[in-house]
Formats: sequence, C-alpha cells, structure tokens
Amino acid sequence: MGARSKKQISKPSPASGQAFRQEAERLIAKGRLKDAVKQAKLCFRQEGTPENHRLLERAYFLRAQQLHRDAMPTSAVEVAQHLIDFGITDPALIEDAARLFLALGLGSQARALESRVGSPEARARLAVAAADQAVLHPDRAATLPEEHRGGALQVRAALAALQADDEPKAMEELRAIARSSPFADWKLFARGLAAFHRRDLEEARVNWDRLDPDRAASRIARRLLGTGTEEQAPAAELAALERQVFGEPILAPLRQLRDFIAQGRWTEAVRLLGPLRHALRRVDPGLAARLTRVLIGPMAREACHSGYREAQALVGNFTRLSEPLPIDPRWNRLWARIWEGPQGEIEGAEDYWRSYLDDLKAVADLRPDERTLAQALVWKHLGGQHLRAAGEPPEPGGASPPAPDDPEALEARRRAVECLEESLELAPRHLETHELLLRAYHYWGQPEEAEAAARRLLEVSPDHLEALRFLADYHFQRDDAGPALEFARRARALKPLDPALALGEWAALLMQARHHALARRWGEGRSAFEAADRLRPEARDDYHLLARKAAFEFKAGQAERAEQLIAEAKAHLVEPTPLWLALQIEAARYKLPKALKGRFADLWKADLAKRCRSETAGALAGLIELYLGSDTRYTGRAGHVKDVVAYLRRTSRIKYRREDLENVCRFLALLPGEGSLLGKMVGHGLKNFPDSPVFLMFSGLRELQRGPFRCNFDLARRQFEKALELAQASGDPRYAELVPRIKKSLAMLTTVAESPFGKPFGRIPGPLIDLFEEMDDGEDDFEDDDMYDAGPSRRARRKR
Amino acid sequence: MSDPYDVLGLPRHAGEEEIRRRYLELVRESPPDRDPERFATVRAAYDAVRDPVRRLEAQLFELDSGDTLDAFISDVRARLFRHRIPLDTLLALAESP
Repeated sequence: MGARSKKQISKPSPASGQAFRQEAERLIAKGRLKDAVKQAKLCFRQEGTPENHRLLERAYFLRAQQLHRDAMPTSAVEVAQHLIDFGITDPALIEDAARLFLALGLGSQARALESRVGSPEARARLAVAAADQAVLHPDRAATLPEEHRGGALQVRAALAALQADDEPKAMEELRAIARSSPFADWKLFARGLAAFHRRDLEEARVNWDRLDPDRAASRIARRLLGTGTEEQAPAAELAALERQVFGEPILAPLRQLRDFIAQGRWTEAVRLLGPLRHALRRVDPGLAARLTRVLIGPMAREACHSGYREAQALVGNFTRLSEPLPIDPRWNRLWARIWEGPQGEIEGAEDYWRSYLDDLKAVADLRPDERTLAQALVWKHLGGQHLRAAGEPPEPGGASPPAPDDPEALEARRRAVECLEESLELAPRHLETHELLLRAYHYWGQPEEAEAAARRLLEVSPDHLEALRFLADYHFQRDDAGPALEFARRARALKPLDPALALGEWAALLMQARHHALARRWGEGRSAFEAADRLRPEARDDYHLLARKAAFEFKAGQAERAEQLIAEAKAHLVEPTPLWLALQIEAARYKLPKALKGRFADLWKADLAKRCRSETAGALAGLIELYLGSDTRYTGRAGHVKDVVAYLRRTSRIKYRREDLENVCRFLALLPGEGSLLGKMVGHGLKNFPDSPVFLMFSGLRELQRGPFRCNFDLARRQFEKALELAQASGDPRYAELVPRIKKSLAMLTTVAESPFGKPFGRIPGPLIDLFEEMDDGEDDFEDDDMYDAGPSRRARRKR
Repeated sequence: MSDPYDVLGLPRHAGEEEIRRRYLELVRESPPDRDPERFATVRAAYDAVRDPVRRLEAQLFELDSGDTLDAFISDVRARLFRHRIPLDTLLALAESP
C-alpha cells in the first residue's frame, strides 16, 4: 500500500492547487491520513494560502487522533507536536485539538488552546475531559488547575478503596465531590462499581445509565457490564476471565457435573471430581470441601438405591476423588451412614462408627470440648441404633414389650445400654442420652433399672417432668406413699394446671392417708384427705372418695362419722351397688374388721341380684377397671372381677348410656378371656354410638384378634383411622388418652402391609405377634380365677 | 416449621459466628417493630440452630447439607466476577480499543 501511495503522490499533477486539495480531501475521506498529511503538505508548499494551512492543520489533527485511537501514543504525540508547531488557525478545530492534546498528555498545550475557545459550553467540555485525564493518568494532573487536582486524587483513592473491597472508605472519599464538579461523573461511576462488586447489577445500571456516554467513566462501565453476567459475556471472554482469576476454566466442568447428576449418570459425574477438586483447591480449599458437602447427600441416596457392587464402586470412587470433609477426614462417617441406609441398620455400620470415634479424637475442625461431645453423640447414636435393633424404639410412656426370647434382641439391648453408658461417661450431663436410657428400661419392663436411670436424669435436670412422673408412678405402683407424693408434687409444680398431674398427686395423697391410717396417725391421715379435697374439689362428692374416707373413719373408730359418709355417698348414686363394691375394696385395703367386711359383702351380693341398670354397670366397670388397670392388688379382687363380669353378662338387653358402655368396654378389654362379651358390647356401641372412638378402636383391635390369617386388615385400618380422627378432634381427655394406642395399632398394620406377611412362608412381624398374643381371647379360660387377676399386667407377672 | 437453616439462608455447617452474623443481618432487615411476623420466624430459626449440640449433631449425622450444585456454581461464578482487577487495569478499559 505504501508503494502505491508513493506512486500516487509522486505522480506529477498537471492540475492546479485545487486538484491537490481535492486529492488531500479524498485521502482524508478514505481514512488514509498519513498520505493525506503528505498531500496537504505538498498543497501548502505549493500555495501557502490560509485555506491550505487549515487543510494541513486538519490532516495533522486527524492523523494524530488516528494514531492515538490505534494505541500508538508516541507517534500520536509526534504528529500533534507538528500540529502545535505549525499552529492552529481553524477555530472549528481548537476544541477538538485541545481534547486530543489532553488525551495525549500535552496538558500545557491544551490549556494554551483553551484560552482561545470561545463558548463557555466548549470550555466546560474541555474541563471534564481534563478531569477524566487526571483520573486516568495521575501523572498528568500537574497541568490541571489546582482545584481539579484534589478531585482527581479523591476519585482515584475511592476507586482504589473499592478494588480493595472497602466500600465505606470509598464512599467517604467521594463525599466531598460536588454535583457541579467535573468529577461528579466519577462519583456515579464509583457507586455503580460498588453495586457491581456486590452483584447488584440493577443498581449498577441505575448509576451507570446516568453517566455521560462520551466520558471515560461511561466507557469503563460499558466494558464491565459487557462481562457482568455469564449470559452476556461471550464464552471466549468468560474463559479468558476464568483463566485470569482461577487459572483454568471451572464453570464448564461444574455445569457438566450438574447435568450428569441430573441425568443420574453418576459414574461419569464422579470422574469429573478429581480434576475439579484440584482446580477448586487452587482457588480456595474451602470450595473443594463445599463441593463434597453438596454432593455427598445425593450420592449417598444414589448408593442406597443401587446394588451392592454398584454402591461400593460409587462410594469408593467418590471418596477417592473428592476432597474429604474436615469433620470426616477418613470417610468413616460416610461409610457408616451408607451402611446404615434409610432403615438405620447397625450391622456393617458399627465398625465404621467405632473407627470414626478414633477419627474424632483428632478432628482439627472441632474444639477439644466439641470433640468429646461429638464422641458422646456418636456413642448415643450407636446406642439408639442398637435400641432399634432390639425392637420398637421406645417412645415416652410406651407400653412395655414382652421379654424377648430372641438372644439377638437381648444382645442388642445389652449393647444399647453399653453404648449409652459410654456416651454418658463422656457427656454426663447430656439430657437426651439419660432420657433414652430411661425410656429403654421402661419400655423393656425393667423398672428398677429405669428408676436408677430416672434418678440420674434428675441429678442433671431436677425439673425433668418425664422422670418425675415416672418416679411418682414407680413408687405409686410399689405403694411407697412418701416418695410417690414427693415426685407427684414436684411434677405438678412444673405444670400446675395439668389435670393429669393433679390427679397423680391426688391419688398419692389418698395413698398417704391410707398409710397414715394403717400406722394409726389419724390427724395426718385426715390432713391428707383435706389436701386431696383442696386439690380436686370437684371430686369431693365422688362416692369412691367418700367410701375411702368412710373406711378411714371406721379404722379410726369413728363409726358414726363413717356411717354419715356412707349415707352421703349413697345420695350421689342412682343405686348403692357400686358403693358396696368400693367399701368392700377399701375394707380389704384398710384392713377393717371381718364384721364390717361381711356387712359390705352381704349388701353387695344383695344388690347385685337386682335389675341391671346402665349407670350401675358403668360405675362398677369403671371402679374395678381402676384397680385392674393399675395392677393394684387387694384380697378378693379376682372375685369382684368375676361378680362384675357376671353382672355385665346380664346387661345385654338394657339401654346403655354412652359413657357407661365405654367404661364396660374398657374394663372387658382388660380381661383376655372376655373377648366374646367385649365383642357384643362393642357391637352395641358401634350401632348406637358410631361417633365414639372407643368402640371403633376396640372393634379394630377385635378384628386383629381374629388372627393373622382371618383378619380383615382393611377394615381394621378404616376403624383405627376413624377412631384416631374422632379422638384427635375431641376435647375429652379420656378420648385423647386413646390416641397413642390407636397410632401404635395403625403403625403395626403398616408394618404388616410392608412385610411379606400373608404370603406363603411370610414371617409375622414380632410386634404383631405380641399383639395377637395380647388379644388372644382364650374362651376356655373363663373359669380360671387367676385370669381375672391378669389385666395388662399379665405380661409383667409372666416376666416376674 | 420450615427448615431453620433455609429460613436463615445458611448452610447446615455454618459456624456459631456465621449464624450470629446472619441473624443480626436479618433482624436489621426485619426488626420486630416493623415486621413482627418475619422477625418471629427468624428468631425461632435462630433459636433452633444456635444450640451447639444440635449443630454438632447436624454435622455428624446429616449428609444433606441443604446446599445445591446450582447454588455452588452460582457462587463460583459470582466469585469470578467479584474478583477485583487492579485499578490501573480497570481505568485502562476507558482507553483500550
């Protein structure tokens, strides 16, 4: 091109100066500015007119501008210097030339031109250009007016603070810049930059949209926004940025990893982990560990749903290629959790947990006290898993299962206790471990061990309601009036408005009154009765309480007072039959003289023969259920049970009240040999009171009683579900008490539905066998007196 | 109740200091006098996760971190763009072609 230009320029032109000018203009228009300068020089040499002067000025200016734009600052300055030396006469060029001189660092020359600029607007434009240059090139600030130098320094200090992630300092630096200052644009730019760094692109745009598009700040902002989001940034630019920041592209393999996992292609996903781990570690070791944390849950789920070999390979490769977590440096915790699986199987997992206990002794991520607590928590977890292996996990207040004949279950119990004790050794004040131990012993029907566990729990938490209630019950069962009352009082003090706790303390007070009577401490006994009356004034007129007081007064030799109490009690009953039963019971428990016992027995026998009534049937069933259900023994209990059952047999044709029939069913359900009578009563209840959860629950249990091969599980489930719905919706505490039992029955049905039970050679789940055993009606046992002593405690006695 | 870590916008393995800082941030955003319902939710979540035993149990026994690969990628990307280029490089953008 150079040769061609020479050829063109050296070609002698026959034309006049006009032709030279036209050629120069043509070269300018085509952007061939170097040639244009030469042509304009020729033109000026040939004819030094003002017009040709201006032509050469323009050519110099445009060439200098072109060189500046093409990042050739030295050449640009050289050409600009030619222009300065040649002199600028064209008024239209003065402002642009001054701007160019500023951009080239020729500040003093620019200022010299500035004095020749006529319009104030143009002067203002030059001032902002000078300000931009001072910001971009602090070395050029010396040529600026004094007032602008400080502004440039403030802007640079603010931008430097932002790049150092110190936004408050940056804003402080910018505060002094006024809106009218030529640096005001930079203030907006800095605010936008702060938002950009916070990833608040909206706010960044709000600030940057207000920038003058011809100024330097706006040019920078446009460049930044161009790469501000991944979507906007061209792939090449993004990769270049990643190489600059991370050293290598990371986002693309991460997205590939995400896609593989979404498609369930774990083998391919895991292959990416090795290189990614090293790349992330170079950026920040925490990122590599975080990737492990993100993937470990989904990976474990995938492993649990895979076959044995696939799972082994997946977890093995994952642990080989991923960054270990600081909390699990040797992956023992992960292997243990994988072995446990969703069902919490201890077999296979225990060795890993025990290895993890060793790891925890040196985990750098935890403080020394946390390491000890972590080990205690792992021991507790192991204990919990052994409890699960031993049978149903204990719930607060859960019924005791039978003693297992299975040596594996016994071994699981032993190991559960061992693990929980190890945990308590390390964290003796960890409440939940104490609770677990108490519930386990309680659930297994080991009251002495449970009592010791409850007392240890109270040492850690003296106001632990569950332990206090357990101990109150424990001593109540053993007829230890003092401790029973003490624990019942402490429990009630925690929840003074809880009616169940008030009832517990009330019962303990009555027990204490009896003990005082047996010890001939009449004053203390009466005080106990008075305290009971204050506690539950609504029970003051209850015939059973009056019968107890009467027994007390007979014992104290106050027959007249006792007779008054009996008369009072009779007045509260439709007929006195239940009172005679209550007096017989209390006469036995208060060890009253034989004559009195005989009198009450005669009255009882006489009234039993009368026509049956719903109220009497309900009261008798409710009274005798109280003693049978709590396994409170006294001489003659079996006979009383037999009498009441005989009475109830005669009530099949009477019109029952709902609460009476419910009492009858509750009582009969305690007698394993009365399934047939219970069935009839439940049938009456379902027909006459379909919205009572009691009859629905017993009907469901009766269905189970038909045995594993005749039971209609769907019917039983429907009845339990309806009973549960009604019990939960009711505000009656007697119905609310049914909820755990119904839920337990439903859970058992679910276990059956999910087991191979019912299929050929299917094994009946253990808990259901217990239930069937418990429900076994044993029709032929009717005449066995001992059966009437059984109730729910038959299992407990069997163990004893 | 929603997962307390989700409510606070924290990973499950967040430390004590991080939990406290995040809680104070959220309380500044939703003070009890301006947004009592949101404050109650935040407070309940904070109470649930501030217990060191619960936190340690989560660390020991929970494999799911509550973190996602999408969030991870998003953070790595943000880190890329948050990276501060030197001041001279930034200003040179005004004059580079």
